[in-house]
Amino acid sequence: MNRPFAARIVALVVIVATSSLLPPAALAQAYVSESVCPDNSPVTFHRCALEAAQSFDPPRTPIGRPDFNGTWVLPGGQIGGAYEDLEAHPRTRDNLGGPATVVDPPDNRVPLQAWVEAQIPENTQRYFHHNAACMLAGVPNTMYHGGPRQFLQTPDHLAMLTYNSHGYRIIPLDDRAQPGQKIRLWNGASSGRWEGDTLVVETSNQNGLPWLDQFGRFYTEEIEVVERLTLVDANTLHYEATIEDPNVFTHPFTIALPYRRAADENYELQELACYENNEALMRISRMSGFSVFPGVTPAEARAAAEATQ
Amino acid sequence: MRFSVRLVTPALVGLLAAGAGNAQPAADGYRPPQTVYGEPDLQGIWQTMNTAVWNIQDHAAELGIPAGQGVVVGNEIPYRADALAQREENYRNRATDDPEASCKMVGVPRTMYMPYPLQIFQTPGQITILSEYVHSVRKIYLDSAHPENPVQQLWMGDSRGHWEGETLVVDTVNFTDQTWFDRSGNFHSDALHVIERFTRTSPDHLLYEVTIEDPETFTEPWEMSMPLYRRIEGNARLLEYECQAYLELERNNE
Repeated sequence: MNRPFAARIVALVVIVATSSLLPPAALAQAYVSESVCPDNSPVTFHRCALEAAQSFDPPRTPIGRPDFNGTWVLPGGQIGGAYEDLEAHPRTRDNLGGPATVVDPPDNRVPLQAWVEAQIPENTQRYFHHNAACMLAGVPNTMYHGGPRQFLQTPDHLAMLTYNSHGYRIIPLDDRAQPGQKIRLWNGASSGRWEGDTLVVETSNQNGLPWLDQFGRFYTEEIEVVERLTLVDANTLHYEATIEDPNVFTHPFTIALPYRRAADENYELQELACYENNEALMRISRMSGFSVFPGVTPAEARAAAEATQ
Repeated sequence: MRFSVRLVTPALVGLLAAGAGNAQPAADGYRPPQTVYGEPDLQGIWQTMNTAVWNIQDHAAELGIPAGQGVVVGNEIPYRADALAQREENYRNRATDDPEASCKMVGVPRTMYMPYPLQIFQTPGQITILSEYVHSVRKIYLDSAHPENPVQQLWMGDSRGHWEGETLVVDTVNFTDQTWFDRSGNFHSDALHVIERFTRTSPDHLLYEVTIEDPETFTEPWEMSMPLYRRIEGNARLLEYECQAYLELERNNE
């Protein structure tokens, strides 16, 4: 068994093992599929959503903002699609496969610098995927990893709870100051503002330890992410994120995804005690030679880029 | 079936009311503002300011541990004899056996008085308490029943709440037996039943009262009471204490 395959198996086994404690409903939650933009392929959906959002007057909270409250499901389920690979990828023995999530540049590829292309295979040979170690998934990965997610919206905050790793993000919608540069966080520090009926969220202060996908694409702590969330009909949310990190990417790129409303409006997000149940698997994985991805510092990235020129 | 629908029994409510305890409301008759969804507003970033994380009972100072007046009403915990022996055993082995020492979720009520901020969100039908400590999440569903046949025991329990006037009352069951009340070994079984009352007593104070019931561990219910204080800093936000991740990164060097 080659090592990259082993790494993915570890990630898969952790999900399956922890998820097996739950009813199947927690894995593949039914969603409302009727939509003005029914195609779940990110590129097609994105094009339709940009158009549809212009004429949609969304349901609103008591203060008149678009109402994002509810449980949202990522079509494609727990472990396929963007979670595996942001680019189009076939079904193989260790991938469920899926279409490209990158909507810009037009070739639908992640614009990696040359040295990064070379680094990626090493990542999957040596390190756990952050999800296998039950760590928070970072931004944007937390927005497309497993299971349903719940949005909690108040006049001054949006909180996003994920089933996976019982993660959460808290996005202040007031003009609260960003934390200082020394404060590095798995999920970064976000601030949100409304541009018409679109919520725009800027995120910095990440620690660069999670990956973008199971393929092993990574970034440094200098990553800046700008996300845009817009309702395109009552049961469909258009998610878009532009990712910039000049240490790793040749230029900024944009991904997009559909979120569909869970069919069961009383759905209750289950507790996934990932770390608490993960001790044996972590021990086995470490014995197989894997360790936690220690990250690439911006200085290391710049030195590596220079060395390959 | 232990995990059937449970409501706060009148006896327990009476007990709470009688023993209102260590933390008195700051101002009689304070009425909190309402949320946009029409409930008493408990939202914001809150944190306790006491020594319950070390020991929920009265304790003297030791190296690295401040002395503290307990948060247990009346200070005594009515352990059964065998449970008291276990509590003493826990105390001796606290450096390794405390679930906090291995970065696990600390359960309810302990998560409420960890030395990390909490943030409360109120949305239709649900109150959610997020903790900075290991990003633990409490989802409190309003006016609904505990599941009849839960599929697994929960580190943070199954919480159902309702409003009694301006007070949020939360009933939580279906716990694991893996969590403790503090770093000194006070513990419970998986028969734990927790009833909490959250009452705003001023703009910046939230009275937290909790009744603990666990017939396998205690001879009778007992209570804790403490204020939560609002983090009023203009830049306040929950950061991260990813305890288990720091442990795993340490293991990279072994």
